Amino acid sequence: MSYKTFRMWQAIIGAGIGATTGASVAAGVWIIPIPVIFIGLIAVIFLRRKVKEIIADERTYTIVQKASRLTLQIAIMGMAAIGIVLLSVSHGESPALTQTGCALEYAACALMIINTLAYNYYSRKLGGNNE
Amino acid sequence: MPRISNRIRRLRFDHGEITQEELAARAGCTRQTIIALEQGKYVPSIELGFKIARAFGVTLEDVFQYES
Repeated sequence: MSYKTFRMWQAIIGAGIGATTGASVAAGVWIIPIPVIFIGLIAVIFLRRKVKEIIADERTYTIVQKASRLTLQIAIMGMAAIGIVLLSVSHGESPALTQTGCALEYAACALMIINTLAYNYYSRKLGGNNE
Repeated sequence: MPRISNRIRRLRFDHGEITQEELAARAGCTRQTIIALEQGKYVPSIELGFKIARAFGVTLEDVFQYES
């Protein structure tokens, strides 16, 4: 299968999942989207294995790494800044703003912790430490 | 700008004008990577460098030059 055909099938499956999920949620049937998404993901993975062309290489991974790093920096700084603003504005008088601010601060902290753990893991895996 | 230049375009011409797609298949990368390499926008890993050199049947330094 060519990459072009794969992309076409991927779009069709994605549209199918979207339409099914939307219709199911609108109809109030919450159970249908779960197997549909699961089956759709398996179908995409299966079709991807049938592609003979090289879809991703080291340059793609470099782009993904740079994009992920930038996304993480923006997300952490954005959440931390918005969280501080919300906590400052609320002054403890608006529980909704306080909760949202706290949630954003905790999420920013969680992201930083996960990033640190992942960094340490790959740092050890790829060598370069003093052990 | 990277200080590592390459002669991929010239080597493709010398090897019977093989297409970027064919070179990508031989080297095990995407055509977009070959385009980026020819435009000097991307410097490959040593592994990919060797694969490209091997695809042309030349040494690494015949393909890539380090400008100090």
